[in-house]
Amino acid sequence: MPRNAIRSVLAHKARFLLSAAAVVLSVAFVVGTLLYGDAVTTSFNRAQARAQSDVAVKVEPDLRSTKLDDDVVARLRGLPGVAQVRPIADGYAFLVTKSGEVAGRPERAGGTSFDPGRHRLGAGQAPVGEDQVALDELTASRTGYRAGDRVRVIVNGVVHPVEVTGVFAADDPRLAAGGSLVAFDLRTASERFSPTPGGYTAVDLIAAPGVGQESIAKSVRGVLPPGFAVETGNSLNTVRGDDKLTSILLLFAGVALFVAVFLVANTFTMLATARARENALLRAVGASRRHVLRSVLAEAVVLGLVATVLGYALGIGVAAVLNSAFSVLNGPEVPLRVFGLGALGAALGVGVGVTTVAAYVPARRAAAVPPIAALRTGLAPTTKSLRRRNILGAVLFLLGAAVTAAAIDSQDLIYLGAPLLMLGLIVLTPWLAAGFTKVLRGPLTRLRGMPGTLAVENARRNPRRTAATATTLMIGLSVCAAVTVGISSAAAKDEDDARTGDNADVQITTIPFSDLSSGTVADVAKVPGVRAVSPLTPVAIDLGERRFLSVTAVDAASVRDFLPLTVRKGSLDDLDKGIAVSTATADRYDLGVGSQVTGAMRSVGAQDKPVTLPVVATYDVPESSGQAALVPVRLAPDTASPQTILVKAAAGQDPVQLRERLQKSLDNPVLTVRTKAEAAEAASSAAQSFLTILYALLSVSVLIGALGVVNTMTMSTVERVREIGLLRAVGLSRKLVRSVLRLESVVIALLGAGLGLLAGTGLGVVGVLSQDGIPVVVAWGQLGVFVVLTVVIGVLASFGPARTASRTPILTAIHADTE
Amino acid sequence: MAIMNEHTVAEADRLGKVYGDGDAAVVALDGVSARFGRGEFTAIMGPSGSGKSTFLHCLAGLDEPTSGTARIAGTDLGSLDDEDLTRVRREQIGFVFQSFNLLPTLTAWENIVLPLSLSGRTPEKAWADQVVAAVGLEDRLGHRPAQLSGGQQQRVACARALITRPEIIAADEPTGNLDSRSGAQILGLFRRCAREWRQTVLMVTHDPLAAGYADRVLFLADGRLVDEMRQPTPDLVLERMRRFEPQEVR
Repeated sequence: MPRNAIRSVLAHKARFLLSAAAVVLSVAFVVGTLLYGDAVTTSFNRAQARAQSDVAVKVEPDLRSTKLDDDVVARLRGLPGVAQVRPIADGYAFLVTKSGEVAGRPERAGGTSFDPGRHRLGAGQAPVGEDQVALDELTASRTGYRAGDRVRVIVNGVVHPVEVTGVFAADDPRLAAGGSLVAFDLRTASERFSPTPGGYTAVDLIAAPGVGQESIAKSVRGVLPPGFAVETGNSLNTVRGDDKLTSILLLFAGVALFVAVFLVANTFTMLATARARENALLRAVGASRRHVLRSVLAEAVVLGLVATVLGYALGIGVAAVLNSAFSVLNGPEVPLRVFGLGALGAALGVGVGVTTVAAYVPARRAAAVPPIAALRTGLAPTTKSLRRRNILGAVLFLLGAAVTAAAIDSQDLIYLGAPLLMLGLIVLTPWLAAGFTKVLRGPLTRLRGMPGTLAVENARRNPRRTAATATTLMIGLSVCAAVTVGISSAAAKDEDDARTGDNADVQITTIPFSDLSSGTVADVAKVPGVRAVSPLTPVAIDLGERRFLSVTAVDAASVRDFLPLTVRKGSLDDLDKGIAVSTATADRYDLGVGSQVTGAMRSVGAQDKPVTLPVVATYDVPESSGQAALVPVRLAPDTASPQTILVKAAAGQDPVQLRERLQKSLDNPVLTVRTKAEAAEAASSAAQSFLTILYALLSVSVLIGALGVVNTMTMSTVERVREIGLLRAVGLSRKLVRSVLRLESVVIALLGAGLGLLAGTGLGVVGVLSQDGIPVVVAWGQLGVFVVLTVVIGVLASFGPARTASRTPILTAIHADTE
Repeated sequence: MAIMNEHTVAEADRLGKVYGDGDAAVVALDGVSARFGRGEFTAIMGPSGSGKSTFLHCLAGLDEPTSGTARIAGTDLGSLDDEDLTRVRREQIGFVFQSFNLLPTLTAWENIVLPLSLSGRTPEKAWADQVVAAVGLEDRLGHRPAQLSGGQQQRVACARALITRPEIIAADEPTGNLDSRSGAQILGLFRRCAREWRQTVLMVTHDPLAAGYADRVLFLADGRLVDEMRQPTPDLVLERMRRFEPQEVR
């Protein structure tokens, strides 16, 4: 049996080629994802370890206000079994490279206190005082800095010119994750990074030989007051792998796989038709149904095995490309483990499993062929009624549509509605194909004459096959359409928010994980061409009883120029003397002009300050700005970091020029300075690049869908070679033969794309509607591109088959024995 | 060299056809020359492998001869490109094959007018009615081939061959798959084509009864024209055919 299966697959290798290609692509996608995911997880684990290997216990303040100072360190020092106590002050410090950029990945730009126990000096000396730092060797080699160089380091938004005194090696997770490490002496680090004066951010305890981590942790807990987190090194380093990326990739691989199932099933169905007489002959000479079934399934297994091997090899390549192109962490490279047991198992499951499952139904149909069929010439196509299928499809589709519609109010329902709807659509596609082609017959005949009729009739002669082919494209494109709608809508909202949120000409923010310094506001004000400047500094007022009012500290004089406020009562002229609240806040806290807000002004790194503020105005503000309450900036502590600094240009000042001047004069790479238009563009371009990644992931599914069309066109052209010969004999030129096949192919492709795009857009719209406050944006241009793409797929898919068909000599065609 | 008189519609001039090359070469046609006049119904006969079908195919532009010339209405088919050859097939020749003559996706009527639709023309009402009446399919026009009997299908194929008023009707074993009654209908139709509509009918057959409907019979053997018979009757044809047999046995 295996030998026969192999022989049969080889004999029909041209027909199996595209199915194999589809399975190879799916397997490669899955394997590539798993291998790459494995490498990513390994590097994440390295990067997420929170303690160095020699640390027995780490003590950290639970709250930022908890004081972890020398008193605490002294208490820990005396504990039994503790060999060493290392106070640590850690935070973000951005090293500026020679080309004026931030060195390493900003989210892992570490600043720390130098400690010979953690940092092994390779060259130079330990830093001493405010003006000296040491760099880790990876960063030093990347930036080309050496001991003795003058460099700039940005901490809390402030640029510090310092001298590099040494280069060290360290075993720090931030480095494993592609970050950088700037070490100050302990006092300087404490000043810069600790939220409390004279404090530290953590204390590491190293155990004496033979002392267990747990026993130290126990004694630490015994001597410390509440407000501290005490964890052992082991528990800190037990991180769960971040599998999110792998899951997302696998999801898209799953879509590709699903599409491949249809292609494989379609191939085996067409083969069953093509070989009906062969199978009937087998049955006539005594083969049982089971024998035929098994022989077809054996072919599927052979096909699956071949595809698995090729797919695995391709998958290794995919993973290697992913690993080098999208190195997530940019840290020291993690080698791929090429043979993971999981990946091997998955490849076999996907390759062989999917092929066999997909071939099962066609195999049963092949086995069901009656022996008498061997003797019949011209086997009439079995047109089994679609009635039951249509009813099932309609029920599924309507149910899916109803659940999806309900998802507008309860968004989780879409996870049930969308699959139901798509499943219903897939089941209904033959019926829709028949309808679609019926509608098309008239117009296409008028437009293209008899070739049009022939193309449509060919597409509709076997609605199941047309439907299965269209489905391969439908699935991929429906997901494309859904994500397009969702992300375009979100992008439009972001862009709109950026446009309407404030009235600034230029906006200054920072790169992620950095802070703006309150001193920057004064620097900005000095730049020529600036008419007004205001920070938006988030602070909070503790009203007592665990009620907090979020407040934005602004420049009282110019706030009306910057924020789109509509004053309801009172006047913002008096803002310098009190607080203004939005109408929503006024309702919530029962405030009004004349009443008072009493509480403690709270901000990171500063003592609470009691305040009593009269409400001077109430205002309405669009949701995109959303300031709940405004206070003059003088009330915010100096340490409070502005979220944004808004700048108004002087009359006649070009914002782009002003932006350039600001960038030059501030000269700080952690700052992002943008004009209003640039900010709006940046808001939407982030979403666009996300969309591009999704398209790249979906392109595999669409590619397999395209292969499906090629597959069907190839096989049905072979089946119809006699018809084509006849058409040529009665006067269809080669050119028209090609045009008939091209039209047919485009009709099938458009059917799939049309259904997919409609369904996907619908689901995307529901998805957006279920999120409050996001307007629906259907990117018609993008959808148009998909339609054009589909036509291109259709035309390309017909190319090979049409060439072969039009070149076959008429007589060969007429006498071909294809039935 | 061929001097065509005005009544000659098709002409074969030393047509030769060799399949394969070298040792494997098989000579199917070995220099057959013949002329076919307007309104003449010719049957082409010969034992299996005599080259009779190849001769028809080459003459009617379905196959390319390896030597010699085939002319339709004075035009050398070998000088035409695919577009022109296609037009000749569509407009000047009507084909009827032994089996598989119709497109399963089209109705009988659509099959009949197919050659016209392919060139974007609409059928001439009076002629179309006459053709449909001649094949007796008035009430079957909306049916698909699968819903028609074999004889009816072949009559649809004949109607299709006639619809363009071609000068030549080329039929390859048109009655081979039919019962005698249906066969007689088709042959009667061909005779009417020749007599009434002055069309040139070329028919390959191995059935002496069918050949009896023709005006003359050409006999081919081993790729050569070996005999010709005017005003054939089935008996005469059968007699002539028998003379091929000993050769075959030998």
